[in-house]
Amino acid sequence: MKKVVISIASIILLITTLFFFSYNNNDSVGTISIILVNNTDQSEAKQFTFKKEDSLFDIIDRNFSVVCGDRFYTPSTTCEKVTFGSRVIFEIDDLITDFETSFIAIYENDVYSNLGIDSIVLNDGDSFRFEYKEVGGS
Amino acid sequence: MNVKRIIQIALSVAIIFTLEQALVFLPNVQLTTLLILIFVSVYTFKESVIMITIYIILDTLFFGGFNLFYMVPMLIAWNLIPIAYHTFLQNTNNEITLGIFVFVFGFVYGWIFIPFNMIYTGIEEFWPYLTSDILFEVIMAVTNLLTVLWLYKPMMRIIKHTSLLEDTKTELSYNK
Repeated sequence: MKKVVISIASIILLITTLFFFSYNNNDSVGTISIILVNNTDQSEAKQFTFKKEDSLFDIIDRNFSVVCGDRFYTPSTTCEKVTFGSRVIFEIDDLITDFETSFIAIYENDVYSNLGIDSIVLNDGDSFRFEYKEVGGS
Repeated sequence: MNVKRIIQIALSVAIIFTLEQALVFLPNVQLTTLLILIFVSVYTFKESVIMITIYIILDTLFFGGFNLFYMVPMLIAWNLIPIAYHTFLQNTNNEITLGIFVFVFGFVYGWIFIPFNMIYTGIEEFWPYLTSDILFEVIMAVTNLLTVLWLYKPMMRIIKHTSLLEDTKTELSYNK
């Protein structure tokens, strides 16, 4: 009997928590701007709203055509997380890299980000620049 | 430790890892805690620590190469089970006591990652980490509780009929 009561109580706790989080996570919390810079030109800054649970990858994935690297670092459109919950981005629209001779550098508010696209925390008003870089280049 | 025991530990890690991967599409729903608790109940403290260390090496290798910010908190967290089992839990087989322990463990597991994530991301505010992970901690805690409450004793009865207990010095009785 004890087991049944504890089980029911724990399931109620779980359902309550799920409801609480689903009702509190629907509001937009801010806006960010994104610029793409490939090896020839630069796009105009675009504004995007984001929710609490959004990562920078979510915003990119929703609004651009994205190609990621898979577990073997070959191009893939499924964009699975390959290393500890992180993705490797190869292409965003016209910004195309091969991850051997070139890569996409991320700048957050004009500062080079040492974090990957899934680890960056979004703040209202942030600007992000995705820039084509050659390996070993400046 | 004899060869038979080494093989048993290796197979235990294989079972834990395989079941973890089988449920990886459901966030924090897993049988890892139950299985580790069962094997900890059977193995000695030293054997349990070896088993957990191998499991964590395999896990971190599979998910992307020995990231210390995941590996170290995992080592600390999972080793809390054998430490607790052999100290304040006093080798108990009471499923309700063990259930309450693994329920609390579901939260502690998440909290142990917080300082490492703070260092990793460079964001030093504590509360965002705590609040953002609560949902997943509750899922893990409830999953732990339900699986241990309903599956611990039946699985221990099965283990009693295998050769796994032959080398175990502790006398175990699960038919009470």
